[in-house]
Amino acid sequence: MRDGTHEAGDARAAWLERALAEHEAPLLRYAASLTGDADRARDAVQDTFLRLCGQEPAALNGRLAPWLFTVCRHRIIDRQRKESPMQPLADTLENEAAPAPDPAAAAEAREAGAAVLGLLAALPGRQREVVHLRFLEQLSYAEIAAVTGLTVTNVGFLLHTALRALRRQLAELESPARG
Amino acid sequence: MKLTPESPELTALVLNELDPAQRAEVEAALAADPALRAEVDALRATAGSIERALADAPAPALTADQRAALRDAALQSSAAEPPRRRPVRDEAPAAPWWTAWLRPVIGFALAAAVVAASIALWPRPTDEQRFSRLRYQPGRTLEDFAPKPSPPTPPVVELDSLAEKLVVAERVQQASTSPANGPAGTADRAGKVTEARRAGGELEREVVATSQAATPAPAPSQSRGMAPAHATRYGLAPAPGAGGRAEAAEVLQRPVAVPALQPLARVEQEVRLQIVQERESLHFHGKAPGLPALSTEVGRRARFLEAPTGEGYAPIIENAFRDVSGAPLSTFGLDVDTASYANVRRMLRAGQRPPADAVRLEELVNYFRHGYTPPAGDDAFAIHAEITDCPWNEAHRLLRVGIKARELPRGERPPANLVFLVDVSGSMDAENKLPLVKQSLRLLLDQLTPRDTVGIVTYAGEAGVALPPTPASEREQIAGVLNRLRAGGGTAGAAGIEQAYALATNRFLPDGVNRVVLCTDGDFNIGVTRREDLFELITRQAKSGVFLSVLGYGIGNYQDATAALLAKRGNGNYAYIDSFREARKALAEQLEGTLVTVARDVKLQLEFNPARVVSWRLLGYENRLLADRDFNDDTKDAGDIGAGHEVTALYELVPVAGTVPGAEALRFASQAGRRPAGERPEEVVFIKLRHQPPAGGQSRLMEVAVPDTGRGWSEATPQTRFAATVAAYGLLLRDSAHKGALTWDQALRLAEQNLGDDPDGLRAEFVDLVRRAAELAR
Repeated sequence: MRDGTHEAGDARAAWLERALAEHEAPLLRYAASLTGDADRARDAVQDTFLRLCGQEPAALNGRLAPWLFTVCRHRIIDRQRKESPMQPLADTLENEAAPAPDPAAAAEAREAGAAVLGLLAALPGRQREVVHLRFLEQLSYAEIAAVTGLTVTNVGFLLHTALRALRRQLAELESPARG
Repeated sequence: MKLTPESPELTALVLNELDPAQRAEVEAALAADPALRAEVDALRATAGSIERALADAPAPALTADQRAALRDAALQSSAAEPPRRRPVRDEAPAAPWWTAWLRPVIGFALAAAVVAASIALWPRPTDEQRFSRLRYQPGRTLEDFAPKPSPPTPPVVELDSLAEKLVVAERVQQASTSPANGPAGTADRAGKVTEARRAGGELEREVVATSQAATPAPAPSQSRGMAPAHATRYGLAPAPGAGGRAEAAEVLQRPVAVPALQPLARVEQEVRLQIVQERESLHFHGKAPGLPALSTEVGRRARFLEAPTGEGYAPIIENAFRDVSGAPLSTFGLDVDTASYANVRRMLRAGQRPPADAVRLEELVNYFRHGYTPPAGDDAFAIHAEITDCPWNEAHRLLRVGIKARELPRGERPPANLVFLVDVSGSMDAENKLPLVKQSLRLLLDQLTPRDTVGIVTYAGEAGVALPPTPASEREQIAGVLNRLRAGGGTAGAAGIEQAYALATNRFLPDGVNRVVLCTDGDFNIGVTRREDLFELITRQAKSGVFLSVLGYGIGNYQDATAALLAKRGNGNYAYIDSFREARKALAEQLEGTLVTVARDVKLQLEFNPARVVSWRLLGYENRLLADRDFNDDTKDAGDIGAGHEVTALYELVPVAGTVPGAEALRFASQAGRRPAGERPEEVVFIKLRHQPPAGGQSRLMEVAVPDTGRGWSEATPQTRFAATVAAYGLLLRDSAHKGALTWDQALRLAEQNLGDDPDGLRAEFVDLVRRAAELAR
C-alpha cells in the first residue's frame, strides 16, 4: 500500500516535471504579457501547476497546453478582479490601452529579437495575448478561441492585424538603419 | 474569392489554419495577384521573426522554492493516497478525495437501487471532440467552430454525473441518519426546560433556556461508521417505505470500506468545486450549452448548477424542505462569519446585483446584533426561540433560534498576547488595504491595556519580525513600527506564519488570550509551501491554545480567499474589513468577541415533532451542516464562539394542519394532513446545543423545548421580525426558490417597519441597501 502510494506519487511528480519542462517558460511569458510583472506571472503560473497536480493526467492527454493557458488566464483575471474589484471585470484586457509604443527604444536594441519582443509588448492587449498563445505554443485558432473566449473568426482577425502591425513596425525600424 | 491585404485569410494561410478547400481558393487568388503574394511573404517573414525572437529570448523560470513546492504537491496528490479531508473553501486543485470515498458509497447505494434507473447517463465527449483542430474558415461563427458534441453527448455530462453523485450522497446520508439505524430512546436527557408561559398578564414572549446540564458525550468511537443513538424524543417510528434507505444504511454500517460520512454540505461544495473545475477544463465560455430536459432531481440540480456562478463564488445549494418523517433532525455548527453582508453591500453600492452564490443568508442575518439577553450565572449561552407567522408564506411558520454567548465585562478580559502578522506584499499596496490595516491595528491598540502585549511580523518575500512582543503601553513604539510598514515584494506566507506562531508561543499566557492576527488581502500564497503542513501547523497551534484571527482586506471574491479557510482551521474568526467603520465594528466594539473564545465546537441540533411539523427548512448555513451523528461526537469540529457573540438561525416550518393555535382549521385538508398525536404534542421542536469549554475537555449540553403559541407576525418579538426581514432580503437577492410570495416592495416595507433599535446606524444602512437592491431588480 505504502509502496503503491509512493509509486503513484512519483509518477505524478514525473508527469509534473515533464509538464514544467515543456510549458513553464511559455506560460511565464504569456502570464507576464498579461500582467506586465514577472512576480505576478510566477505566482499565477505556480498556481496553475498546483492546480495541475490535482488533475488526472489521462484526462488532459492531448490538450494539456490549452488547459494550462486557460487556467493561468483565469487565475490572472481572478487576481485582477480582487485587486481592483470595482473595475468592470472581463473588460480589462479588451479595453486596456496599449502600452505606449516606444519604437525609439526598440530601435536601440542591438538584437533584432529584442526589437521584436519590444514591439510585441507594445501591441494592444488582445492582440498581444493571441500572438503569444500562437507563437509560444503553436496553439490552433480553435484552441486560442477556447482559452480566450473569443470566436475563432475573431482570433484570425486579431492575429492578422497584429502581424501586419508588427511587419510595418519592423520595416520602419530597419529602414532608417539602412538609410 | 475576393482577397485584399486586409483579409485575415492571408495570415491563416501563413499559419496553416485553412482547410484544403479554403487553401486552394486562397492560393488561386495569390497566383493572380502579386501584391497579395508580397503581403503573404512579408507576413511569413514576420511570423518567422516572432518565432525566433521568442525562442531566443532567455527562458523565464519559477523560483527554486516554487518548484520545490510544486514537487511536494505532486507527490502528495497521488491518487493512491488515502482520502484527505479537504476544506470547503479550498480553491486548491481537488485531488478528488471525495470520489475516493463516494465510489464505494455510490456503488452500494446504486446496488441498493436508491436512485434506480431515473438517472440518464451520457458518455463523455472524447478529447478529440473537445479539441479537434478545426480549420479556420472566415465568415463562420463561433458556433460553427466550437467543438461540436454530437447531440447525445453534450459536454455537460460531467455536471450530470456529478450532480448524480451528489444526489446519491444525499440519499445515502438521509438513510444513514434515519432513525432506523440507532437504538431508540437513549437520550431524552434531563435538561431543565423552561417553557413559554402565558401566566397572568405576564406574557413571556420567548422560550429561554439558560440552564445547562453537563452531559457526558458518548465515546467518539461509538459514532464512527455507525449511526449513534439519536434522541427520539417524539417517538418517531422508522419512515414507512424506507426499504431502500434501510438497505443502504445497512451497507453503510459495514465497517469495511466506508469512511465516516462527511457533512453533506461539504460533499456538495466539493462536487460543485469539481464542477467549476470541470467547466474550466471543458472550456465553457460564453453561454453554456443547455441541459437536456430531465424530470429527475438530478436534472433539476444540474440545471441549478448551470446557473452562472458569477465571480466564481463557491456555489451554494440552498437547503430544501426536509420531511420530518425521513429527517427529524437538523444539525449544524454555529458560525459567526458575516463577510457576505459587507461583500454584498459593496456590490450593491457599485450598482451591481450580487451573484446568488455571494449571498449567504446566515451571514446576512448574523451581521447584526439582535440584542438577545445574555445568559445568567455561569452559563456559556442563552437560547432564545420563538415561532411565529412566516412573512413570505402564510401557510408556514417561522422558527427563530437566537443564541447569545456570555458577555465579558471589559475589565475582566484576561491579558492578551497578540501577534499581528501583516501581509505587506505588493498586492497590499492599495488604499483599502495596507493603510486600512494600519488604521485597524491602531484602533485595536486603543482597546488594549498595559497587561497586553503586541508583536508584529511581516511577510513579503522574506518574513521578518518587525516588532518583538511589546507591552501595549508602549503605544508610541508600536504605532511607529506600524507606520513604517510598506507594501512591496512577493508573498511568502508560510515562513511568516511560522514566525508569528513562534513569537506567540514564546510569550504564551496560560490564563490569557493567545492569538495570531493575520491581516491579508487573501492572496496569501500559502500554496507556495506545503499547504497541508501549514494547515497542520495552524490546527496544532489552535489545539495548544494559540488561535488565529484573519482580517481580510480589499477582497472582492472573499469566498475564494484562503483567509477564511485558514481561520476555520485555526479555530479562529474571520472578518472582512472594507472600511474604517467595519474595522471599528470588528476590533473596537466587539473586541472581546474577537479575542476571547467562550466556547469551542458549538453545535446545534433540532428535533422536530412529527405531530406538529410536516417538514422544515433551515435558511442558510449550507456549508455548516453536520451529519446528525456528529452532534454528540466531540472529535468533530464546529465553529467557535467569542464572548458576547450572537448567532441566529431561522427555520421555515410546514405545520401539521390544524395544530397551530388560533389558525382556522381547514375544512377539508385537516383530517388528511393530521398525524396522530404522538408524545409531547405541545412541543414543536426540541433544541439542543452542545459546546466545549474554551480550554477543551468534555462537552456540555443545553436543551430547550419550544411550543408554538400561535403567535402572529405583529405579535412577534422585534428580534424575530428584524431577523426575518434580513432573511427576506437575502432570499430575494438569491432569487431563492423558497422566496414564496415575497416581492422587493414587500421586503422594503418589512425593512422600514421592523428596524427595531438601531444604535449604530447599521439598520438604517440596511434599509438603504434593500432600496438599492429593489431598484436594481426593476
